[in-house]
Amino acid sequence: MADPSNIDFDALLTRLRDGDRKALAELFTHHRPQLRRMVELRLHPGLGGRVNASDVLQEAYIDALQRFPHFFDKPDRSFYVWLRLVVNQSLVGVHRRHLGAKMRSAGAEISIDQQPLSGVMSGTLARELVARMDSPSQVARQAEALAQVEEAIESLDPMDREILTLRHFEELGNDEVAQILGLQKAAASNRYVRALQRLRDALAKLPGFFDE
Amino acid sequence: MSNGVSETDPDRHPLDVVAEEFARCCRAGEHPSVSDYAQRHPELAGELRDLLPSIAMMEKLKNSRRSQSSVATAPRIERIGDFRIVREVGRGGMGVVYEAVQESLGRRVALKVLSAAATLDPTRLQRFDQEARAAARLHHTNIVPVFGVAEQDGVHYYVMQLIEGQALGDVVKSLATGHPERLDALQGKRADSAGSGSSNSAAGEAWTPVGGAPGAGTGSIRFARYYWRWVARVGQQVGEALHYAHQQGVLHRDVKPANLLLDARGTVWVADFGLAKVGDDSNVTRTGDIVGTLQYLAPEALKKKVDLRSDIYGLGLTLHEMLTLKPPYGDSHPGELIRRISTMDPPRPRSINPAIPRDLETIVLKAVARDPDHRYQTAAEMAADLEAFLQDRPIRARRARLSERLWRWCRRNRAVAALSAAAIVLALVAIVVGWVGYANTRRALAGESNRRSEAEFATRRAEQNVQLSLQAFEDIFNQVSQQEAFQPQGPPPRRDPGALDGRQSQNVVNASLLQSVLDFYDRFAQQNATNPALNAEAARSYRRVGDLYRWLNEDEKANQAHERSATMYEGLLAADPTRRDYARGLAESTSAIPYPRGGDAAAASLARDRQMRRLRSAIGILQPSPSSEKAPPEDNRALARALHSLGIGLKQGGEIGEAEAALRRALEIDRRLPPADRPGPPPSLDRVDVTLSLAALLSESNRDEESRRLLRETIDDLDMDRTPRDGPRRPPRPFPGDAMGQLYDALADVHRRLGDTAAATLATQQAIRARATPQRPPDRNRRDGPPPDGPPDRRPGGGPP
Repeated sequence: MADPSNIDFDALLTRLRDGDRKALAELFTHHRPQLRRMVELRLHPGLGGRVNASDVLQEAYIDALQRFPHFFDKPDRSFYVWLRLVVNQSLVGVHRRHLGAKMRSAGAEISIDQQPLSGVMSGTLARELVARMDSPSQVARQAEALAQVEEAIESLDPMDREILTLRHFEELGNDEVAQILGLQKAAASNRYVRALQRLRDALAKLPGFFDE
Repeated sequence: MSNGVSETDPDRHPLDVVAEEFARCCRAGEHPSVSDYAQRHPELAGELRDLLPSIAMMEKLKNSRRSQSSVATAPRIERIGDFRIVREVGRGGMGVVYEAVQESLGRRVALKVLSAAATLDPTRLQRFDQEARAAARLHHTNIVPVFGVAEQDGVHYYVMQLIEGQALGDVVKSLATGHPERLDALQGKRADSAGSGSSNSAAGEAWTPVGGAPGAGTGSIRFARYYWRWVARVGQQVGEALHYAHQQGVLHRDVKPANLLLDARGTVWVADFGLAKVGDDSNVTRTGDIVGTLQYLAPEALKKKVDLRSDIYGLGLTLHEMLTLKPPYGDSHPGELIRRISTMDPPRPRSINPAIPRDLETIVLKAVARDPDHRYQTAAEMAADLEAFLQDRPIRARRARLSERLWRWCRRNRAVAALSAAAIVLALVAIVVGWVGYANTRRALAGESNRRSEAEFATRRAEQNVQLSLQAFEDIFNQVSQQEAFQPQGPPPRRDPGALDGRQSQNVVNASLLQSVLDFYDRFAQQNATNPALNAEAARSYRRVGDLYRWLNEDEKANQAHERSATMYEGLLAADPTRRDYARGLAESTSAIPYPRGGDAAAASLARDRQMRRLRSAIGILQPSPSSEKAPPEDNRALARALHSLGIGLKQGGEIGEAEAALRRALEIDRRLPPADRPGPPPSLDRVDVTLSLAALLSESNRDEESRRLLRETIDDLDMDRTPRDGPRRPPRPFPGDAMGQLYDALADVHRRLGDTAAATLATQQAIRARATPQRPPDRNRRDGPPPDGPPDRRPGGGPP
């Protein structure tokens, strides 16, 4: 999952287990780009900029500072998965406080295993995908394309959106995805392939999306 | 290429495995071909052709995306309750600051919308509310008034007085980048502040850069002293504001340039009191930008032990940055920052810009001491010292003695270079001979204790050998220290590049040589601490170990070694109170240890008493008695040092009269020391030290005129030493420019207090000139590098060997 930079995870985790909070700061900093991406994809547009990804990460970091001993209770998860869980909870909290009951209807939350997860915003994902269309003709089509891609993604099952995001935007491996979604590895893998197929189907309906 | 795919993983869909590999290639910046993959996996070819393009698209688009957060597309807030938003004026980790109009009252205010607070749970929100309300109760001329906190539709916000001006962080940035034209606020409106009593205004005095535009060219800016005074005034105001808040039981918790606002009149306002506490217990987490806050985080905050002295630290670091125009700990990534904050002191401001006044540097360094006990204990104390600086009175913060500091600079040992290769070889030979002989003898002794007389003879010889090698080290030691004494303070003067290269290559040798000398002494001291015959040698070695550690800036180890040495000398003296050399060692070791500061007051005073007791007993022995013949200069020098150290101790204990007497005696002795009787720091350095201590004491007792005469006399004497005179030819003695500079600085201060501005200015100029004097001008006619044919430590005037 994480880039294989020269950071010594085992040493950091050992230090963390011994209560060294600096190790947490280092780990958090290391995963920050990934976590940030995760949050950005999931912030509900209805929040209207009152909350941004940094705010969520900040709160998550505070939580992580208090809760990191729990990570060592069940060390079968990767540390990233654990951190992500903490961030997710902050995210769910933000959405609940700000959107209240609107949240579920707005698709801000999906539930797996009784555990609420912040859903990927289809609009956000669509913007991600269209952002790069920058040739003149593409720019002209951008608004239209955005709507279409959004529609295509909207047509996906929330779980499919989630799994594609985890695999391709958060760049996680199947094992971690399985841990996060609480699925068997085989099931996670199968769902991923199925999501790919559905995305392909959805995008294939867009005129010229694969032309370039 | 990748046949690994065919190894089936029961948990993975085969397409998944290929897709993952494909995605990884995309991320690595390659452009994997879909048909290649299809050919390599014929059984999946159809599906791969179908699916891989989608993956390529996702990966490609994702990577090109700039992180425009959701904020960019978010609708703007236009109104919150009674407040109409006019514009956004700032954005920080805590939220966004808007200029707004409170419509019911028709007044303009600043609104801080706490985005982070909105995400907090009820307990923390409540705590935030409490903190904010406490801050709202603060009423001080230098604290941004908080009108209230409120919540509307889940948005928590903070209503403050609108301060029109800029944050000090921006001021520092524009100064650092050389765009001072935006610094109108710094100047203030003089007419205003003059009318309303300028004590309240940091810009009570306008300042102007000298020597062209600041920041032009190299970025080494020389500001007029008004800039330093302005910085001090800012610090003083903030210090008073903090003290007031502390008395109300409110900590700021995040003092840094970005939280200090400068208004159009030049008044400084402290903003955001207590907000940092929102994040439960650790303000590491206070802002989204961890690095930004970390830079000003007090070391103890990493351990969650924040108290009012952490605010003092923040203020100290802020002043540090204002003086040097650089963030003290740089801006590296958080892990590195944390490491630096918890293990390193910030650099001395004057090492970055030598024009920074010494006293101001001393104040800043005291405020940012790593151990909170070593800082000012209240913000009021710090403000008072800054006030003293502004009024040209002596400050209370003490700095290390000049000679102590000289040792430390030795660490940047460009000039440790002058040892000749011959001296090194000689020393090594001596060591080997000495040690081998000593070791052999001991072995012999253990094996053949019956051949007693022979063994004793051998032992004696071995001990002589050891002493020989000790002597060799002593020579090296003195050589090195002598070189270092010529180092002026501050950054090294420029040399021509060729010379520099040569020195640098030798440096490596010398650094390792130093280390070996240290190791040698250390080992020797340890092995012989219990050997009565070599006990004195061990005590002396510990003293050297201490000196070397001090040199290497390892003060704690240095103190330990000196303490050890003093204890041993004390024991030796108890056995034989007539030994002046032991007394000398006791005096030297004890006076090298700084008196404990801060911490447990009882323990500190106990330690001080012990130190003073030792000094007194050394003084008692070294004191010249009428009957005895003239004491050797090294005894006198040690005596003077003991008296100096004793004087400082007495002064700390409040016995000013006795302190003065001791310092005067020390000065009298130093004055009569023959010039450069032996290698090492010249005796006149001691005289400078004592002069400065005595002058400070006199000034503090409001005896500036005496202080002035004293400084003048020392300066005149030493200045004369610098140039050869006619008559009995005295060798020109090199003299550290900074010592001279310090004397002139002190003189300038005294003149200023006496109201003689012209003389003060002149003295300041002379201080600058003294520091700028090339390194060893008189030294050059004397000796061009070590002579090839003679003992390297031979001194001129010392007579032929």
